[in-house]
Amino acid sequence: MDKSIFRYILFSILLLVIQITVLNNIQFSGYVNPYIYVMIIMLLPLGFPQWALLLTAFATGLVVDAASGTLGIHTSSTVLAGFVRPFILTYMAPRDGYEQGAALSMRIHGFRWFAVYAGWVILIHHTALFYIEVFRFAEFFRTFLRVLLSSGFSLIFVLLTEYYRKLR
Amino acid sequence: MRNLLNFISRYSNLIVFIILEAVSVWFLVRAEGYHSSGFFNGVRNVSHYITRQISGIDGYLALREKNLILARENLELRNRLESYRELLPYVPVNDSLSDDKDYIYVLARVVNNSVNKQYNYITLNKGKSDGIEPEMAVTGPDGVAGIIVSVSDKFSYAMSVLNLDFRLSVRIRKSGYFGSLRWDGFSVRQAGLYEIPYHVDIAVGDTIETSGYSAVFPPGILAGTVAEVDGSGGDFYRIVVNLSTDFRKLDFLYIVPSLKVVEQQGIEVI
Repeated sequence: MDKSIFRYILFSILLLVIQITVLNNIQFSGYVNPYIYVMIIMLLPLGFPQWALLLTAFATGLVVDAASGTLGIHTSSTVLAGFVRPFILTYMAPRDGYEQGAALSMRIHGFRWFAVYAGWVILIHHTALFYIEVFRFAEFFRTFLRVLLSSGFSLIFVLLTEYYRKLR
Repeated sequence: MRNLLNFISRYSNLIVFIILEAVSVWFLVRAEGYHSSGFFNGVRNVSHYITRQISGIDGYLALREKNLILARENLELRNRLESYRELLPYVPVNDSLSDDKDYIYVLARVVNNSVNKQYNYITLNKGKSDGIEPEMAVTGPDGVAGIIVSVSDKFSYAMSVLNLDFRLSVRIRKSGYFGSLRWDGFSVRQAGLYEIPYHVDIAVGDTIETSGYSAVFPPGILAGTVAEVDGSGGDFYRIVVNLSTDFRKLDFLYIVPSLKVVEQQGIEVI
């Protein structure tokens, strides 16, 4: 158990470093800005208390905000992602329920389940993020297209990362 | 009292969520205006530190290219200087040069810069202690880059051309007609040129430069070239401009304190 916590923290730091140093600095065509750090919220184990999850989300968003000089944008959307996570999990529960304290990984739940789960979390997070960033509903569909394309890319990144973790 | 406790324990997650969300919205609103306050400056210092480390590595890797750009610019300036030297005997020399100067340039290094947001900003390593103030122009070797919006002691914070709030008064070099340049949020290399009336003669490839009407930017600084002209519909053209500055590789920029902006604005007040 201790080992897995240690590995989770290490993995989170790695995700943040990749996000801040690499992904924040790339730009394909103005539509695609992948944000993979939301995986930190996704991977917390099932038994993790909700209030602590929200605090983790808050801290994660704050770090990304501080590093990219945009106070509040990442923080508010990551906290929202943390808030909806239990609803998504309830909605996606297997017929005989989750195993107590099980990790929410591709290894345990399979590729399909993880892809749908990650897709929902990313979509909600990105929708909040891009609309808060633009801060207006004019050009609604253009922002929507940015949300969809960026979510697609983030999902690919997250699935590749998770697939790699599964192999190890 | 027991009911209250029951209520709190029942909705504790929702309450935590609302509190945290409220705090982050407060961040958003406070950070929006970029006013100085202890906490926000603290966060910004952390972010400056991180990005300075990254830009250090970045700058080192791109040294060869930067040298080329500087050498090219040097060459051009030298050529221009030579052409002025011929005129020198005919120019009346005024001893009190500083009185006559409209603009002076301050060299600054880009500490942080973004291109992938809708509201992009550039952080520069010159601040109040170097005489930088808000509303000063920022240009690069290739053309306009932004405008200073806030300053701290050692840093200044500039709104990039790639910002939905950015407006620039520009003119077409060959005809002198002026319009307004603003970014549309799409491409890093392109912006829109507005308010050019339909009767003006304009073609793809025409040079767009600053008009100097605002007294912030000196006149005649390159902004870009015309990429597309659409004359259908309305009294005005829809023009796409290829920006001359590549915002993905900014390194050294010039801040342009205007010596007469206060005087000009003073007389323009109604």
